[in-house]
Amino acid sequence: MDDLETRLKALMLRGLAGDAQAHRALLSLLQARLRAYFSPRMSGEPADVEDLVQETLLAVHLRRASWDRDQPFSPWAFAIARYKLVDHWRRRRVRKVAPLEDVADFLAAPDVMLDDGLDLTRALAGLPSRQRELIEAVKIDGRSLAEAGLRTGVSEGAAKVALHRALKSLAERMRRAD
Amino acid sequence: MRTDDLITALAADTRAVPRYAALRGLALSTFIGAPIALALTLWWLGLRPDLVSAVGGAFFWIKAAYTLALSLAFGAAALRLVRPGARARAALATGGGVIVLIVLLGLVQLIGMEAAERMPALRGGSWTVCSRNILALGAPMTLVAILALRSMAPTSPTLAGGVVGLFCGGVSATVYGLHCPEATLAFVGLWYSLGVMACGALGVALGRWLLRW
Repeated sequence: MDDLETRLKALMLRGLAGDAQAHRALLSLLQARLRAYFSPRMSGEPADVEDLVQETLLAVHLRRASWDRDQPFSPWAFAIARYKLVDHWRRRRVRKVAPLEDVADFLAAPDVMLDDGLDLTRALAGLPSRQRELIEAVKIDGRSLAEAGLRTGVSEGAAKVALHRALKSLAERMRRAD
Repeated sequence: MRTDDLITALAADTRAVPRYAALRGLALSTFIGAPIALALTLWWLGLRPDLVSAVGGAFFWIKAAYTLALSLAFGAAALRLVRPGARARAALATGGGVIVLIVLLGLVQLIGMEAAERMPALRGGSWTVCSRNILALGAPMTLVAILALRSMAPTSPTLAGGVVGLFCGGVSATVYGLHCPEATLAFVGLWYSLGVMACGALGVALGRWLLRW
């Protein structure tokens, strides 16, 4: 567990400095943790689990400025996951209380299978077409932003801004999904 | 959309993130909000006529120390409450303790007075407008501060909004001291505290609405 915390924190620090590969590795490690944490706490709907994993990854990415670099990483990520889980229960009108002290569970839970997210697909479909094309260009065979911008007819700088805006808008749409 | 695809898109959006985002947000809103409170004091309320001599006395500074202590404690609490996983108990207890202390000192002062002097001491000359004025001076800053913290991630938007409001109320009450000539602990303990809490209530309302994520 401590070992995982050390790796996550090192990756997060590099990601915050602008290292995209480290950031990607962090999110990949985290998605497995999130899926394992959410699965047993949700009523067995794999698509719901995946929606929540994706919504949480978006929040972790968009709100990483809220992590204090002098603190451990896992409690921060766990608090975000827990907030998103409680918010999901609230939206679905499930009355439950998430116990406060299972950051260890969060790091140690066994992996679960990967699935598609429905909410994200729906949220993506609702984006303005330029933003949607940009995300699809970036995600399909991981084109660079410069190439993706070229495809959608804008400069790399403009593509950067547009991608960030599109991701923020996706996060907002997912939050209001149900 | 698959989660791996989402991660690819998120990784493409990696950029360097500056440190101390919450502190910057709060500092920025102070640099915007405190001058607004000062401008309102100068052009709407007016400085207290005896300001020059008051600055030489102790009570002017006691009032300022009280409201500044509130903003420091609640500012520290707000910085923690907008970060997931951080606890703000000590800072919140300090802020609450400062309010309790000033209220107790005010009570002691009232008890030590002749019965006939108590109500005038408690009401001063401006009890009907004091709390309202502090709210009016602090409201713009509360809105600015909550907007400035929207990129943070408070796990309780309501509490975080309220504490941000208390911080702004402390700043606004400090500025209000330039206008208000009241000079009893009983008055400050009641009406100043209520004014700061009114800013807190405004923060609760705004936080519920604007700090959700």
